[in-house]
Amino acid sequence: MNGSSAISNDQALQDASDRDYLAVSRFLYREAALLDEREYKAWLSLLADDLSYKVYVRLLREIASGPAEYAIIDDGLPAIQSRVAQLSQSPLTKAENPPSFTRRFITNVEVWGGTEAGTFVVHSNIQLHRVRGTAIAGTSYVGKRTDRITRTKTGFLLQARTVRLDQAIVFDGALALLL
Amino acid sequence: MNDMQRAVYDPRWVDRARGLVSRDVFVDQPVYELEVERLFNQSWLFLAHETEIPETGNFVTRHLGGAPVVVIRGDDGRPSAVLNSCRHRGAEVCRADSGSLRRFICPYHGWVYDKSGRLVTTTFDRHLPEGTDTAELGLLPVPRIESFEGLIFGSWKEDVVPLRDYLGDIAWYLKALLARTPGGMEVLAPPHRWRAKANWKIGSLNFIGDSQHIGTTHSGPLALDPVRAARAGFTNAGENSFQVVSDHGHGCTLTYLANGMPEEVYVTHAPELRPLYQQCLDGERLKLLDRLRVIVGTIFPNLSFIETQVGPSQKAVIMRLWQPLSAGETDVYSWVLAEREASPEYKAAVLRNGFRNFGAAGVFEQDDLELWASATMASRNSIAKRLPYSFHTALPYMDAQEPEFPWPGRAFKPADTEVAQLEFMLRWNVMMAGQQS
Repeated sequence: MNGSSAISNDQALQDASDRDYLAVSRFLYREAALLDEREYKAWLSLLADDLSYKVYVRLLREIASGPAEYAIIDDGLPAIQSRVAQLSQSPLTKAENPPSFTRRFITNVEVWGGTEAGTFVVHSNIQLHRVRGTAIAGTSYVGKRTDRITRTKTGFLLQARTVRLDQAIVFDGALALLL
Repeated sequence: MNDMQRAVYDPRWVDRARGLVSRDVFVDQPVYELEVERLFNQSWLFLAHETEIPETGNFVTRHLGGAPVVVIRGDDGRPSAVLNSCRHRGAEVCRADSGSLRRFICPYHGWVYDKSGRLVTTTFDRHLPEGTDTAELGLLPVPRIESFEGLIFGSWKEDVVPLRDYLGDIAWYLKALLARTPGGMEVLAPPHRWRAKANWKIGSLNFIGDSQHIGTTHSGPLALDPVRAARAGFTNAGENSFQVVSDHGHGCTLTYLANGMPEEVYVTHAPELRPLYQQCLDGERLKLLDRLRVIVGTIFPNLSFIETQVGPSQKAVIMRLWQPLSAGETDVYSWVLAEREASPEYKAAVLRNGFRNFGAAGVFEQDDLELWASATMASRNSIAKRLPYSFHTALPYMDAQEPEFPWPGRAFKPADTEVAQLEFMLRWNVMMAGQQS
């Protein structure tokens, strides 16, 4: 699977209007802030019932072989809710207790779609900076996200997220955080 | 700790009588360097699964002990491995994780080797002195490569015992996991890889028999998984559970459905695969799998395995390599396997659910890794190093082997003691003393 071609399935989609672009960007920043602040209940309320949440890690491959990757998370809503329950409760997580300090940086936002039906395809770059304990250097998880976001009567919902991390090995233990 | 200092074997590292193991062996770089020499370069080590390189020319890059190697399927259809370093000036001849090649072409100055590592040309052969023996300039082959039920092992030790002898009693158990259908197992995805800030032995010990960490380390996924939460007494290993210790330091822990635990909640193997098991396994191995909840073990020194339920009627077999980078850093490789005959839907579910629990973002792994790093960090100081790690709960049971155990190996009950872990360290101790047999 090639991350850069993710939009090709949606060729019918047009660039979103400036107004929609701002609204979707605001949603992304809000959502990232909720994760950083560990406001998990509010974050979960932004997820659609039919959520698909995937995170990929890359393989090192010769150019001629084409890119390759494999999923490290492939969850629906119940599994994500369970991850959040683990992450957010004192006795249930060891990896994030005390919680690490996290800061998510979302940039390079591109938005397509936004007809009245209200589905947007959104690309963004994410840098999740994590500082664990008293470590001097933090760890950065950097990647590209492809989201599908729907507009509902009560606001936007995240329906699908695919994150392609720019790394061939997961550093600093197994990934416990959401991107 | 002085990295330049060479470790000398210290008989105090493992104290069998008192059930103690020095922290030095989990944190000191010189000890690790002695391990490379006395243990990794003397043992059979896991390289790859046969199904990762199905076709001639397919390769994966791995490590064999401390050395980078390429594992490739040769023109004869057999796997082989060579040191991944050009004989000319040392560059890696393969810099990808996996792929396919016809010849090794060094990207530095262009030395070319065939798939077996034999030098084809230096590109400047005309300048070689007369009489140069190019047969002596091939990529260094790994001298011993053997497979067992799909698992490819290599050894740097030319006169190492045959792999089947090395595996000994544990092979009997592996067969029940890896050779229970006519087609055997296949890996479902490239190995997940994550880096642990911890010594490789913590992983090997965790899998060989560390039932005591499950209830605390993994309280999260245990409480949150509705299936797991439904069964009482997970931490109570159950009257039918035990540890098995095999020669050469291998071992495993088998946890069975305890009496009264609801079988309908904890279904074991997939019904559609069971007829194939009946066809391929003998009666004793079928008995082994019956009501088996979890089998988890370690092939000495650093290959582990677990078979466990990952969903309703889904059993994943996971192979796990603890690849040391240094005393305090380990790359973890994790493969999810399923029976070749299983349906694509079954395989997809086993893969997804397998890595959800035991992958690079696994709900079990995240907590293990945090605590292993914590133990490593807190043990790297002169005060803590005065206090050896405790394996006390092995002691009352070490000499209480089950008298009439029907299967290979020595069995110990109950399953939640540290017998297998201490046995692993005893084997480690023999190897490190240079008395390996």
